Amino acid sequence: MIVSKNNKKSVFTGIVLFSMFALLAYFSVFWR
Amino acid sequence: MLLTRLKWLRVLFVAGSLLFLSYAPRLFNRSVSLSVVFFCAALFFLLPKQIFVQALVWTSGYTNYVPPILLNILYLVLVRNIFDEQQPSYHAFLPCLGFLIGFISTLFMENLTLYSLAMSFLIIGFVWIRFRKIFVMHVVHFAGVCIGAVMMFTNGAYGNIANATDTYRSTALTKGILTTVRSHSEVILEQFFLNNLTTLAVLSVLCVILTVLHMKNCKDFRRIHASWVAVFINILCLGILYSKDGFSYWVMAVGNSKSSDYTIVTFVLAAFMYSFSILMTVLLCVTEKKSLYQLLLWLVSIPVVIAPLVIVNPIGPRNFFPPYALLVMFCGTLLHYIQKQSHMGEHAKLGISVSMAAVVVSIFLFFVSIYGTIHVYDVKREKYVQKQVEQGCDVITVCKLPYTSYVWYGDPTTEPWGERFKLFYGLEKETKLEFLTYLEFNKWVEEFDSE
Repeated sequence: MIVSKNNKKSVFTGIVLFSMFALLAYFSVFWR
Repeated sequence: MLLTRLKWLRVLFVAGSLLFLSYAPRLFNRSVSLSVVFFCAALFFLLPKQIFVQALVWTSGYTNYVPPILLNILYLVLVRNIFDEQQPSYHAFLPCLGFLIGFISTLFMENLTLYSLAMSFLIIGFVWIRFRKIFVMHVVHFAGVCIGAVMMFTNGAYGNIANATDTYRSTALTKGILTTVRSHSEVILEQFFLNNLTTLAVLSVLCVILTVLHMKNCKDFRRIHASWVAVFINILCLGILYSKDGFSYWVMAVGNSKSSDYTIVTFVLAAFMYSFSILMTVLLCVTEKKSLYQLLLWLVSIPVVIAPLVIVNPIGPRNFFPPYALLVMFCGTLLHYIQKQSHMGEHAKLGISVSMAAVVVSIFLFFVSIYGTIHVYDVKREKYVQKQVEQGCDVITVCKLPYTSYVWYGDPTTEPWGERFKLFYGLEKETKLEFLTYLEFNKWVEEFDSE
């Protein structure tokens, strides 16, 4: 139960961090 | 090429790389808490501006400098069990993956090729000393690295570099060893130390906490004294590096070339002593063998990656993404060790997670305000370039992006960028480009739309 809760937290953190990095990358991509 | 043209692919690659690097300490050591992931993510958001601009925003910089260090860290994650007490064992398909990782990681940058070679060889040696056994996984990786390195260095381009006929790249032999070593040492000092003081300050705090924790259990007075001396040197050198502006004013006030030389020598010495004090703190205060080996692996990797840069041209901020990534790995592993040694509870870890999440969000908002604005003008610029092409204009008016220092050559005002800009947007080679600042461009757009 604890492991599963930790995994959920880890996946959620991963999704949030990925979204932030992706948004930043989306804005900072230019013609070159 | 693919990454330049397909925006979504590049977004996925950049975001995936940063996510992998933030999670790498947790993948490297399964007992690492989420607070360390937040901590590493915060350190990546604290990446010095120039490194961020050249290694992540610039596609070419990203392609050359991020994948090789990512692959090296991935290999270290795969062979993390070499630090365990029991003999490592690997899944049957892992050696094939190890070979591929080793081969590909050597094909990008020379200093990282040398790092892959040294690291792969050292792992075989380390495992032999520990277990008196050689594993297929490590040998196959080393073979991949050797083949890749041979392919890399037998490339004709290196002949041109050695003969000094390459216009872009050169070695210290071309410009004189002493001149190159001196100028490159200044670049290393600036990019990895002077522009990176926030992360170094975080590292110093971790070292002080580690030393204090060690004091509780250590009864060896000589060791205790040596640890405090290391902390003193650490903070002293960090202070000297922090006071760079004061030294710059001193150089201006004295106004001769010797004062400038003395300042550089002082800073280089301070940087060297700072690094040495970190090594001493780890050697003196980390008592658990597994953690000691892991920390030494990350720590020693940093100078191994940086050292070849002393003599190889061109050198710039982008070269320092790989050592910065290794520094973050080191800081993450150190924080994990501190949490373990202090028997940190869940509440304290949650406190670290919340604080680091706040750092991440605040810097994220800062970056979004900068790059969001640049993005708006970039889209507007592209839209009006297309409109002018459709109307058959001979001279194309192009907007200069705001926050110039946050983009590496974002405006095609000089060659070859002008030519490449025309190629990218499918403009005729003869087309003339006229540049306006973003404020002038806004007025121009109003006039253009009203016509």
